[in-house]
Amino acid sequence: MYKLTEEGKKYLLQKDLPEKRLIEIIEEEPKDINYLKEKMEDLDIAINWAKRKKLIKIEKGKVKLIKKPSKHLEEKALEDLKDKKETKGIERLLDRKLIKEIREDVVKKAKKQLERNTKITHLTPELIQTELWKDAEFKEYNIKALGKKKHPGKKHILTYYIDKIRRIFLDMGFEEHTGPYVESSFWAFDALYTAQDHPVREMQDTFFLSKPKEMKLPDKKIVKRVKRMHEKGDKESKGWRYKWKEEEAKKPVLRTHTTAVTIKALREVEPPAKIFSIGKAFRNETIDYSHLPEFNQVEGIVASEEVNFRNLLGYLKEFYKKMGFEKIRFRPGYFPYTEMSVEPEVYYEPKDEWLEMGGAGIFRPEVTKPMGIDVPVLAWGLGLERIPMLDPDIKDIRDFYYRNDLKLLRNKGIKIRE
Amino acid sequence: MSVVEFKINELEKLIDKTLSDELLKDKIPMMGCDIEYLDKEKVRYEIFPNRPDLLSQEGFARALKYFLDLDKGLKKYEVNGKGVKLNKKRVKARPKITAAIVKNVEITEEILKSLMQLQEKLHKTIGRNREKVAIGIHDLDKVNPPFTYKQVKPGKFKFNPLGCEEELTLKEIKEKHEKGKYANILKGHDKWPVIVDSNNKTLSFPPVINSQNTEVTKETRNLFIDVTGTHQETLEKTLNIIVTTLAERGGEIHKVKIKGLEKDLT
Repeated sequence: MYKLTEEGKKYLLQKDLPEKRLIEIIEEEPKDINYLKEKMEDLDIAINWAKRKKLIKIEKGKVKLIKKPSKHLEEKALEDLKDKKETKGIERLLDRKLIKEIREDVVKKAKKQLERNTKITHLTPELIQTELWKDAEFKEYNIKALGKKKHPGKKHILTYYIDKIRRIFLDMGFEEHTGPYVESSFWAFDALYTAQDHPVREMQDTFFLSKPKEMKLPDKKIVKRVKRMHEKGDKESKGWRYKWKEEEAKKPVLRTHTTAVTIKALREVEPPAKIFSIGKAFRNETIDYSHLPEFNQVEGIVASEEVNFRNLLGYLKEFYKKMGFEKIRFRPGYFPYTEMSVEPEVYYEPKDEWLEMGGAGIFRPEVTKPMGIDVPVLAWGLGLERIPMLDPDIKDIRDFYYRNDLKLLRNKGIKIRE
Repeated sequence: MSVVEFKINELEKLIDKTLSDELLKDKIPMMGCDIEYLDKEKVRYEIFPNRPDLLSQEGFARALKYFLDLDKGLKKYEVNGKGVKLNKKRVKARPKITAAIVKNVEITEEILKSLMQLQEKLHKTIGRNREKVAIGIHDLDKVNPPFTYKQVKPGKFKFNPLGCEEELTLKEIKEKHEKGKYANILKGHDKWPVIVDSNNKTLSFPPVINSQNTEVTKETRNLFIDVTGTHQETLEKTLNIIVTTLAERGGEIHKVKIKGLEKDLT
């Protein structure tokens, strides 16, 4: 298939070929080049082709006609093309770029597209090249149609909350600490004044490890002080009154709380200090919609001469406020390593209920004294997953943990900016 | 963490005040016990391990009176009598014992149920599943003091355990009786503990089972309570919780004098 080019249209449809026009001007008498320059456009092309066709000659600056053809080769070729005759004039047309050839497969493709659709929905290069679009009908734009859904990368729900909580504590001037998942019972329990026969230290609640067989205890001074506190107490405490065993303290466990991290950190810091830790803890829970054997804890301590119980409530209130909870209350609680103790609760409107979010308190002197700390230490351990679990769309903790339900994770809106 | 169930009308009787839903649901949890369940008749609270005194309906009501400003000051309980004697022999498997008597308690169906719940919860919590503490509650009028705590050969010593028609040896109890599993606590010992009266009538095989002889019924008025275990302080604490619970129901607390080896194996 051949198509006229822009130039082809100009010279063969709108106007005549430049050499033809030139001949018309000089037919009567030879004309000066300078005169011709003003009289017509494309003079260079006209002279060039007229010369090649041996129709003119130039003498002393004048263009003189030699012969006037009745029909130019190009004009003849165009007529032949219309009659579907292949002549050698076509080569001239192609050579002069007056027509262009369009490949058969392109034409086929364009025609096929037109056959398939009664209305054109999108322009293809084939339709443009063959110019078949000119006679086709186009489908109108539906500006109300929804765009195709895109799922760009975004944070996993847990990562989102971990980052957010980290930001809040960093903003409040806390320093982050981390620790290993495997701890000695000493750091998980003994250092926290949890008696060695406490139920939490039984197999049914805690994952004890068979390898390594035992963990190293810290320096003897600390071990001795912890042992004495458990066995006899001191001037102010009666202690638990039993025989404390070192073997029990050496038993390795998957940490049951991240307090193991903060108590260790407490040994290294110089008060005043504000420390937090976000990390996994492990308990032997039966798996159901709201329980998993692994979960994240948000742990924090504030050690300073200046702080008291009111400050503890203040820190917790501030934290939950920043997390978007307006109504917060505190219920008295009990933990072996804190006194006084509270359980912060947030009001959950959809259920008209107060929900417990974790535990907090002031470390007992039985905990801090053996570590060599003699100032009040506020401490809390909050459940992280409890926060996303308040979302009514999230019905099962496994959906964003093990199963990682992609539909939920994709569609769950999370605020990027508050 | 243990969850205990209380009858609302029993609590009301004990504190002499009506308890509204709002009080039960929103205010009482502020005493330090999360609410687990509530309906028209009963309520369930979660009790923290540092407050085993709240495990009984009576103890809970006592604390509630202070919390609701219906009472004040530290409550004192009178301890009467010169003390019935209990001879403590050497019991290697379970060296510690303490005991008391509570007289003139009217045992109603409700009190009996509440007492059984308390006993079970104490066993589970501070009792560490009877390993550290086991409690026996007996009808005092069915036996004759003084009592003796001693160790016997499990294959030979026989008595009629609670809920059983025939006499069994301790070994047979371990194998056949539904409570026999608690005998695992005595593992590794060739002699097991028993409490007998002056006529050699068996009261109990701690920490496993009481004798049918001393079963507590609605006719029971005077109680003998034994607490055995491994940690004296915890035994005393447990005994105090039980006797004060019964005192709240009008019982008089009487002393039991423990005579015998002071130095025990630990």
